[in-house]
Amino acid sequence: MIKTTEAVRREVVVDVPPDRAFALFTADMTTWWPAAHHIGSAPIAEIVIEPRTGGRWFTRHQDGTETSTGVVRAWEPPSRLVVTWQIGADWKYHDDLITTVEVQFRPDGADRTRVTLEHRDLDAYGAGAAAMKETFEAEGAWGATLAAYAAAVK
Amino acid sequence: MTNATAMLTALGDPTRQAIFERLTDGPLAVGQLAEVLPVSRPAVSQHLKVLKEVGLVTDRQEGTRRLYSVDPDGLAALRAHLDGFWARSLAAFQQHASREGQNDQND
Repeated sequence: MIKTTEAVRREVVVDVPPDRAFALFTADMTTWWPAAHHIGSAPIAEIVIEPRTGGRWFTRHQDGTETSTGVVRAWEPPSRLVVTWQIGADWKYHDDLITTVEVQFRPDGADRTRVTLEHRDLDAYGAGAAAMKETFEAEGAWGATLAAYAAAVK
Repeated sequence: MTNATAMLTALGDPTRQAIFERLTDGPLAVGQLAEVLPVSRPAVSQHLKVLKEVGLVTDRQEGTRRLYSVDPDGLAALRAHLDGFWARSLAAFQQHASREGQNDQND
């Protein structure tokens, strides 16, 4: 039995044009990202999304350590950003746990932007993935790569 | 505590986390878990009890054995947690953007 977990979808409208919204969302993440939302051993010093496809998304902490969140899958200013979110139930980064966050920036009247965020591929977490893994492995169709375990984020 | 918070708390213990990880590969009995982990059977049972209470693990009787597996419904609670996470994050982004938008106009 394959269980499909519905993606998380959220949207907000902001009073700046799309290019500005995109820039604020990415380059200014350190400023707006809720301070409690981190997985490191010390508070956030800086959140970095490297501005290119293939770039890293990571947090530098005040004790000098870094924690990864994911990688940039699509860097398409001013309209679209796709990043992976690879944080597991143990609040650690996992190479083999891949969920996807897509953010779109669409004009909404003059100088306003509708920002929609979709966090999908949630079956990579836990029960769904475990069930799929069993199914696929039983059929011999897949290797042992289907990732990871149930999870949440801070 | 919300369900998701209870789950995270339960998984904060490294042994429980290890047990849970093992179960994501498929159902196992207490004895099988005790064989592969550096803890006694009674300790494994105790940890499974906690994981079951928070809704991460479920069990069923199969012949003479009780098999433990990951609870598929647990995922729904974690999804709800993520939903709240992004709601808070985007609200924070919206606030920041509106502040910056006003600064842009004043420049």
